[in-house]
Amino acid sequence: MRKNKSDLNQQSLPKSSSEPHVSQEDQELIDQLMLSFQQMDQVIPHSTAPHVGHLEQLITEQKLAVRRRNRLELLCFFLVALVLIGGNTLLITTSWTAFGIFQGATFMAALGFLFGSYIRRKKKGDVRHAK
Amino acid sequence: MDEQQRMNLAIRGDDQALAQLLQEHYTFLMKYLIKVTMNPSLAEDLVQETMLKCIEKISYYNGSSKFSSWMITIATRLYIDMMRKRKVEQRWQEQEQALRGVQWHMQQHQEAWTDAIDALSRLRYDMRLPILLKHYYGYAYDEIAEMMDIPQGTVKSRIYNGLQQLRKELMPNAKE
Repeated sequence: MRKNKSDLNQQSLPKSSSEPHVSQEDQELIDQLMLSFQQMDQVIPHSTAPHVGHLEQLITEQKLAVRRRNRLELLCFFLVALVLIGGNTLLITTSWTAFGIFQGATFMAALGFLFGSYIRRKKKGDVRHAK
Repeated sequence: MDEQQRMNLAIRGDDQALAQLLQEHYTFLMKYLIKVTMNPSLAEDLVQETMLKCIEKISYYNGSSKFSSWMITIATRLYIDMMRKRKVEQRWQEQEQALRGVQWHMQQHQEAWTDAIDALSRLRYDMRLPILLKHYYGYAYDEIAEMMDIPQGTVKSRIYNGLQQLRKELMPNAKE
């Protein structure tokens, strides 16, 4: 059981975490902010939770859509794989030099892409983000 | 049936159990997103997106954290991704409009639009988020780091800088 104050049934004003290094001035500020958050909670209207039946329908539809998307992705993957393997096989049978050049170019492009994305991430000071 | 049992059933593909979990946590998620975005209509869109993502990813949920924590992790990441994709100008205009709406609602309920709320609304979202998660929801630094997918040190510095910035706005005469 986590120690947070976010229990759904919680009614009282959540108290900010008491840390030893928080000064009294900071604590006052934090309390003021927490009170503001609670005022917002109470005042701003929001839609009520949908019925379970409606949510079940949403879940069924979403699962169906995901399954369909996954199937399409798999099909695309197989098609691309087929084109790549077929193309490479054709290259080997016709010209070893062309095959070597193609493999080298692909390898260099992959390295370039990796290096480029590393630089971009470093520039932004970003970290990987889950989608 | 308790939450743990429902979670286990939902992970195994029980649609009814998942629907019940989503319904129970709907208000919690909505309130969280209203505080994060300070924009009720944006919060509503994000709730929908979060629920769809939860349905999609439920089989990956390992049950090590509370369902509510898992949900707000997904919601937080969706919000951050969305904010990164939007242009600063567009963000600013939308936020201004939403804030006027929030201000109006507060006045309707005889709640004062305090300096604290105003300062919070002006604070950058990437600073408001960790402050909210740390001090309102009581998450630990490592949990916030995991939720926002940033290093723990960044969480600490954002909370510190965010509070400093708020202090400057709210208590201009206070010592640094």
